[in-house]
Amino acid sequence: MSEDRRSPDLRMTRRRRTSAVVIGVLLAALLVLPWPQNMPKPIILGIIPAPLFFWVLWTGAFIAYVAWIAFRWDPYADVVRRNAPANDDER
Amino acid sequence: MSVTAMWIALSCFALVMVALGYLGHRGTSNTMEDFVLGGRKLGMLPAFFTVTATLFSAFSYFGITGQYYTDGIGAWIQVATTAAVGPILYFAGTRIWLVARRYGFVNVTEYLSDRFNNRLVGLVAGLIMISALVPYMGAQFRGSGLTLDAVTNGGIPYWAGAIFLATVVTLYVMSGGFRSVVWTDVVQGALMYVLLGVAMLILVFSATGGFSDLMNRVGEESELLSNPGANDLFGLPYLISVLVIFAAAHFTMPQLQQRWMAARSHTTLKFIALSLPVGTAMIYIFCFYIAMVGVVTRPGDERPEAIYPSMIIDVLPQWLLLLAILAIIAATGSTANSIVLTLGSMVAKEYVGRRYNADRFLTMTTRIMLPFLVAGGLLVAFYGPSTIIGIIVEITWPAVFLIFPTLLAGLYWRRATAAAAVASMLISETLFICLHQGWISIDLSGWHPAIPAGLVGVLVLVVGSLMTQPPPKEHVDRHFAMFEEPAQVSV
Repeated sequence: MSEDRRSPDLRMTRRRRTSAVVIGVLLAALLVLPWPQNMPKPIILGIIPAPLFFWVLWTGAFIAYVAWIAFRWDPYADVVRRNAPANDDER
Repeated sequence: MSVTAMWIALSCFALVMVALGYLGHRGTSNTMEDFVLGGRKLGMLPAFFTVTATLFSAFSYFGITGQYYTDGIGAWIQVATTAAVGPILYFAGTRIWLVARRYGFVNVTEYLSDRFNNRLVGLVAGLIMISALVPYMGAQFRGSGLTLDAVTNGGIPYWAGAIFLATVVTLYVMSGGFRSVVWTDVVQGALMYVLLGVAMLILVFSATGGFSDLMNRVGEESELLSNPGANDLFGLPYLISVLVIFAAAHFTMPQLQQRWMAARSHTTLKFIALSLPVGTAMIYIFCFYIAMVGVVTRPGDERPEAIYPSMIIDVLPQWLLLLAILAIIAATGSTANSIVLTLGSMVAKEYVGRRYNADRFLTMTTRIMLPFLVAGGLLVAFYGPSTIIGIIVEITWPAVFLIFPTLLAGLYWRRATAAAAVASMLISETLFICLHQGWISIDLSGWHPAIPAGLVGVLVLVVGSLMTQPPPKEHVDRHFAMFEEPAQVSV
């Protein structure tokens, strides 16, 4: 494969890799942020205290991020296809 | 609760578990791959139940409810740790899954020995894991003993509850190995989710007028509902420490590594990465509201770890109470079974199998080791630390976390060497123990002692690897060539 033809793929891979690192670090920072502090109010919908509500939100966002890596980007797809093709048939 | 009714329910539970164990036995051959990994055919739904049932144990029912009760809402950080495993599981997990399939590895210590081309790496990692996980298994027996003692008012004494669980687990794991463990985990996991959820609803609506009323009664000004919590525990250094230590340790835990290796397909592995935090979140939400009911109805309880079993005795109808107690026993059993099978296979492969490598002999050795390891867990249950959360936070996860740098270097860094890996594990574990015990007096400003120990471990690994001779290139290629583009390999 010529360098010219590979470049857009490489650029895309680098862009995705950078995005994955930046988003991952950002979301991980949110996961450990003890915010809001000393503020039990408001209680969202009357049943979820605000810190728990935000933690649930960040956790949900992190799961979506993992789903994007695993199913949308899937950088190991080719490696798996080459090395375990017969076994990746589960639906 | 009637002791007779409890014993009848326990007997039925034991019969079901042993019958499921027998079902697993019928489909299992005498090869290690089959006995320890179920022939690497773990599908998505069983994977979800066996991974979460393995992870959640007496710790979830007692430790987390107790932590919500005493320290407040920040206990949720544990859910974040399971979400953070996702990327590690996708990237590092895919690599170890592929390598393990190609070379027939059945546990993580076997992988480490082969990757570093030195048996000592697996031996040292194995010793650390056994030292860390036997107490954790003991915590499960302790959970069973505490529960049965509490719900029967001492009618079933602590020692009898602990020995009951140990015996049942030994019987069904010896019978069918991994398949038995997964079959029982599916049942035990389903029991855990359904009954914890039902118990939460009944507790909330019987003790209060519903969730809104519960939150009002806990008090909007309560420190439990905000950070940094009632005892100022949940500051930034603590939360980062927990996230890093637990996410890395969840991935490295040998009993969970066997589940990654046993996945039928890459899709199964990806599914585990997504479903683990979802299952964890459900358990932690249930535990949060249960703990808040405890705050309202039992303020100042001196045994916060026992509030869940104590509360359900008062409100659940007899038949549902029996099921809820069985769900607790099931949760403890589903964690202990995985640990004992994993440790049994490690002992067989690392400490016995090097001399007698016949598959049938190794499988038999794994079976024989099970009661001895269970006996070790029982010793911890009878003579070990007094609080379950203490056992887990203080010993198990940090100790396994300090193996993570070696595992990651093995997967990603060709230059990593055996001498540096062994030095990294030994030095970081020693430093952790010294810091934890206060033998080295340093102000860590809220950071967990495993964090500086881990940083030193990484430093030793990197510097040591650069100073020592790596394994031969042909050997390292066995582990790396499959991840490189075909064109790169041929060059």
